[in-house]
Amino acid sequence: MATTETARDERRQAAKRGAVRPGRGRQLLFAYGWLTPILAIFTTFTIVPIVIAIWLSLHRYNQLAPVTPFVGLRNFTLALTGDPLFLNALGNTLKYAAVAVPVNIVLALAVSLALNTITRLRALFRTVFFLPAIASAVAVSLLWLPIYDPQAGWLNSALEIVGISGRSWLDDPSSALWAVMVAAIWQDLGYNVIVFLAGLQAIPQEFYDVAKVDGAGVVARFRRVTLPLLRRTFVFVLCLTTIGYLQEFTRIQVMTAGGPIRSSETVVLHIYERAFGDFQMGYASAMSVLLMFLILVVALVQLRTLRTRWEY
Amino acid sequence: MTRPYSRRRFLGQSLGLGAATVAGSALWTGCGSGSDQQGDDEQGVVVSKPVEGKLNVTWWTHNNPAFVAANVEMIRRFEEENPDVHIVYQHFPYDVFSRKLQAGYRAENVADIQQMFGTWVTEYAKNGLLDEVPASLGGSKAAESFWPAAVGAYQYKDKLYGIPHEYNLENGGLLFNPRLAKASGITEPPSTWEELVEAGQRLTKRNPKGKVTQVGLAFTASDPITFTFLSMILQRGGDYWDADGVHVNFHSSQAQQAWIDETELVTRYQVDNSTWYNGDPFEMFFRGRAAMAKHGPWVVEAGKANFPKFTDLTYIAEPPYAGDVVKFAAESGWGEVVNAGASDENREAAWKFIEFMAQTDNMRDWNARTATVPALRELKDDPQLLQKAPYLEVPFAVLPHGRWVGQVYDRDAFWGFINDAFVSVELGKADPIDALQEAEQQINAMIDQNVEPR
Amino acid sequence: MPAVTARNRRRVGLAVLYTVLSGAAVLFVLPFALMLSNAFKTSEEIIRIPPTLIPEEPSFASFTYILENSPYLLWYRNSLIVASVVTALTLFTSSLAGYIFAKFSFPGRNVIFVIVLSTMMIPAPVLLIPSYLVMDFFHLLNTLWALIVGSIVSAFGIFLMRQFIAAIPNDLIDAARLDGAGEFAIYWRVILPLTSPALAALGIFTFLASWNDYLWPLIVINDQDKMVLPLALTYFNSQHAQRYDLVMAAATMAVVPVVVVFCIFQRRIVNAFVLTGIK
Repeated sequence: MATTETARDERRQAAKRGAVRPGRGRQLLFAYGWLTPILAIFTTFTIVPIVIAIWLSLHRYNQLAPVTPFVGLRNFTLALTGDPLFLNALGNTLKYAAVAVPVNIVLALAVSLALNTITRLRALFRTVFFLPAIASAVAVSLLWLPIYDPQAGWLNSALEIVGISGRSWLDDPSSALWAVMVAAIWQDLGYNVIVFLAGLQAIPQEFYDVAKVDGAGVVARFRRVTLPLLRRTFVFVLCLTTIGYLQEFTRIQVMTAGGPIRSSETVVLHIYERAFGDFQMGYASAMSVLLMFLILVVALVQLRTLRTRWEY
Repeated sequence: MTRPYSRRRFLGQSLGLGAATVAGSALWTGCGSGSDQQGDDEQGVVVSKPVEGKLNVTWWTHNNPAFVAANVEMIRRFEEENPDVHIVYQHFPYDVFSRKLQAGYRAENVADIQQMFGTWVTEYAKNGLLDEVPASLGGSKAAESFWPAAVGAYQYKDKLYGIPHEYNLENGGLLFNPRLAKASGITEPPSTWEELVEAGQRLTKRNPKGKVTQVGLAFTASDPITFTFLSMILQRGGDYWDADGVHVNFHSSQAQQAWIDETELVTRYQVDNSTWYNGDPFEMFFRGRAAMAKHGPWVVEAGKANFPKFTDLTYIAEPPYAGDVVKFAAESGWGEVVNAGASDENREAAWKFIEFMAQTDNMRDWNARTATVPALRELKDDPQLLQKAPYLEVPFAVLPHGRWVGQVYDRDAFWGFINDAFVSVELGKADPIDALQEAEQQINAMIDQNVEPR
Repeated sequence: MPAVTARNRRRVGLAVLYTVLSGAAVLFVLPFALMLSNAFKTSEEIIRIPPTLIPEEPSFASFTYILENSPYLLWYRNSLIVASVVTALTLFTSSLAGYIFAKFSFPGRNVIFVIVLSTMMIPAPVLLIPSYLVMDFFHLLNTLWALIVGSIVSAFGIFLMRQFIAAIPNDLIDAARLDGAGEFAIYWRVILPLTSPALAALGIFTFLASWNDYLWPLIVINDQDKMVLPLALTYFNSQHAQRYDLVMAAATMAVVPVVVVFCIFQRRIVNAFVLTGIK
């Protein structure tokens, strides 16, 4: 009897340290047994194409040409030293993500906290905020074009009423990238709101009750209960939003086509143009691998940093 | 009729789906076509499946309803005469078609015949993916029946790899609004370049706040900017190709003068500006907000379909910029090619079908149904076509002065660099000649990568 | 007395909150309203500027035109099959793999997980042709399978589920084990119910992505009767003429199942709140 209790306690201790101890073969069997087929499918249809793309990045690969000579790292050095358009696109992309990611996350967090606070009409509001996300990126871009139209655009008309003379938002190199970003955040907000809400609702109410009994105010409850318990959700949202904005493509392609004068050309748009316009699939793959590494580094830094800061 | 890519076109074609979708898109373009405007023959819903016991030949095209209807009619006529052959017809949206072809040819999993845009053909021909036009159709000699501009991209190293259906020109004509012209005291369409520029200035209207309310001569989109530039060089007696025939040369005196004159249309004469509106020049015209717009003849039918109620339109001849005639360069348009990897039997039947479509009567009907300018020399000034579409008189007059644009490789990049240069000048960010030199370097670097791939 | 002030303050706060949310909601709902309105407009009314908000002569003409002139119902069926299968399987594989990555330790776990994550970081355009070649290798081109197999294991889903499952206290799993529950039963009876909000979110995202996917189906499918719904939106367009009347109607019909799916999963999110309260 006593031994069982001890064993149980020990296991509990182990559990608190991290994962459930594998100990028994039964658990390992379960883990490997199910992971193997899942990862087999994943490898076949997702990893293999990526490996092919990485292989392509080391070759001069024209998808129509019969031969694909090995060129080593030449595609990579070319991107980093011999292609000013790639560096321009990289600069635009970093600028874009650096603003879009925090703005999106702060807004999404605010909306989801608001929705989590209200009791009436919550479902209705949640549906409404998700509506733009139901549309595809192309659709949203089409929706925003009339808003930015310099002639009869809604934005300029609205600004005129308050006495500000507008501009041609998408034809001006200083505003094109940001105009697209506004549309992007408008569309993407719903996704992050849904995920944050799911995270908020996974926090047991009793934590708040205890905090309340302790006399914690709204702000204190947010800092001491919500933020720490939302950490994993936050990490997920941050990671995915960063990945998404560093790969911004469709909306740019439709709304500005990278212009004017390439002021809004992103890396993926540049990759797309080289891959299908120029048949330089090998070079396009090399740029993709570079972007992948960039995103990976950013993501790992995010995961690391947040792990230490908000561990509970 | 067809441009392989423009921002505006991509929008229309690939409306992405999903819900809120398009909601606003109607607001933005404010266009769409009346259901009554397109006759029953334009319903692009016909496809077919293999039939057992017949020789099945597959044919892929893009899904423009008028093209589909014309193609289906060709199949009907052909199968009537050749009951042992069945054309399996499949069509796909324009915006995915070129990528589908690239993937399909790579995996050797593609139809026997494709209706390709001319500019795409050269790369496929170069890589040995296309069947040569067989002797039964005249081999490489068959090219002589077509205008050089229409057939240029179908030729590679003196061999012919397909049969063009249309002459895809962007020059030679202008949309002209007589009502707006009269309101500004212009009773006759401009007949010289000076008159054109002057009319453009007079027809550009601003409100008291200085905001432009009417555009005089709309042309600031990637296609019109580039084709106008190339045409202006040719009219000055220059050439945009370098002596080696591979690289571009924009530093000749003719090219520089043409460029200065073209950019001055926006900087000095201010007949248009790319920041005044979104969308294509022709849309401004059909909204009644541009008095003139510069586009190829396809614009007449497109306008009719998009803005069925608009009537203040004449399609007038573009006055020459220099010299007596409007010389110009054009891309090759849609036409048929055959997959070299298909079986002998299928290739033979495929060519038989293409030969059938290339008969004058069939060519004429195809052009009439698709509202395209014929690629076949013989059909210039054809009374039947003119009766159906009187505006064709304008392009017919300039067809002999056109030449094939040449091997531009990455077409969108080529046009894009010229457009970037133009916009830099327009925004005052660069000196015209510097911007032009940069465009030349960028285009030549792009060409180098294609000639000596990395 | 202070209690009353606090309650008042809370009331005012709520009122402000509702006002702000309602204002924002209008901005978010507008496109949807316009789409619905446009779907019932005649082709003549739809191109008017400025647009009318409510159709002057509501008409079903666009809907009947689409149904009569394209294999719309067949595409609908194909889309429903593909999106449902993909969603069901993705929910299963993501939650199971997410659970394993979150709660089991085994050699190579972190490496494998980072590899799975990194697959999201390569831009899609360069994968188009490699993926096509893989489908060709398995002879799946021109079949609905080509639209399914590549999507049933999702790195996004695994990551999402792992994050949520990691937050579940290990004690619960431990207790279940002590009670003699099998490993799969723990996943099915303990983990899944506790992660309903995340599952619901994932279900919505997955269904949407599959339902709206346009490029890939058109690249891998050749036969018209195997096509899927998004094709309907570009089906009646020509080079320079967009049939907005038809596009609007097609979009309206396409969105109905999405809204249904959303409502179903949304209910799950709400109910899940009660469930998670248990622990």
